[in-house]
Amino acid sequence: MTTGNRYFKAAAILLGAAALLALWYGIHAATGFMPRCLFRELTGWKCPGCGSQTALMALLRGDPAAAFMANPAIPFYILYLVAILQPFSPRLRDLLTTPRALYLLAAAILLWALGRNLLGL
Amino acid sequence: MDFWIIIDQRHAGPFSLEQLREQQITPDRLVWHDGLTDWTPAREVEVLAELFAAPAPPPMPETAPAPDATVPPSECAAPSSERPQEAEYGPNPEFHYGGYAPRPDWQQTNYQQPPYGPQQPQYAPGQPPYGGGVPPCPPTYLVWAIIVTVCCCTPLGIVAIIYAANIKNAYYRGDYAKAQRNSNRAQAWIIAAIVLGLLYIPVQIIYFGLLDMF
Repeated sequence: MTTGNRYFKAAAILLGAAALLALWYGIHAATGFMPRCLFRELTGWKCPGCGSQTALMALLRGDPAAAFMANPAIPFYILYLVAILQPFSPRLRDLLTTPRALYLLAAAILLWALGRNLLGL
Repeated sequence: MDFWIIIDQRHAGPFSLEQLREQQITPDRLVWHDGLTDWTPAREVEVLAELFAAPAPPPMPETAPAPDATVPPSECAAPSSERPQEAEYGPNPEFHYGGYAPRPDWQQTNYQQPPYGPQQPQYAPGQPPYGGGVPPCPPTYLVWAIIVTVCCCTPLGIVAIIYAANIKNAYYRGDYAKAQRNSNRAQAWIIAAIVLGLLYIPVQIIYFGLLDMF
């Protein structure tokens, strides 16, 4: 993929995400509707991503502390995504995507899911 | 049944049994078909036994080789130094330790035993692919897997992350066919997760609207 192509793709993804965010916020502001977590509805347990919408709402309100408390794992998810997408250090990308790193990642997410349900986070 | 072999340090296939016969593969040629855990010398592949039966039958191995069959995927990432490296192939004079340069005739060349053992036929992490014959790693969809894990609120994303790890694992071991299969499965899981997550929203809106009415 050429560099220009990649920037175009990144811009398109960001624009799409912004449009979805605006749509989501508009619907929520107009009706109070917020999609619920399918996993939580079915099992009653919080999934590893639960609280992301609450966190987003808190951020839009300008309350980062509440956003963090809604799901403290989200900053780490974002950090990991940035680290494996950044164009500056291929070595870091490779290091974070070895099989062992990925198994560790899956284990960490599962542990977080278990821990937050046990601790009520 | 479809077979894959290594030609010029490149995976080639699928071949039928008849096509393999025309290739006149040697007993030491590494072969893979669906169901084998790893690349295996042709003489040890049961379904290929008839290929070598006619002129000079090679000695059949006493025990069926199943080196990796019981190892769970998480242990496949263990460094190659932990593996028994020269156990099965050591005394075989056909193998040339440390010899990378292909001989002119690939039919005789088949497989140059690299120094890091039989488990990694073509490619080891951190080493440049030699011969330029290594295909690119199939997509792992890792970014999608994480987005699904966080946003779609379904544990399907974790399955997709495990698949991403298995893709890398198979790719590092040189099992490109398996890497490709895992890649396809990871893609299927992610699509399923996204479809499920998106389908669930209208269901909720209808439910939400009905609650409002009554």
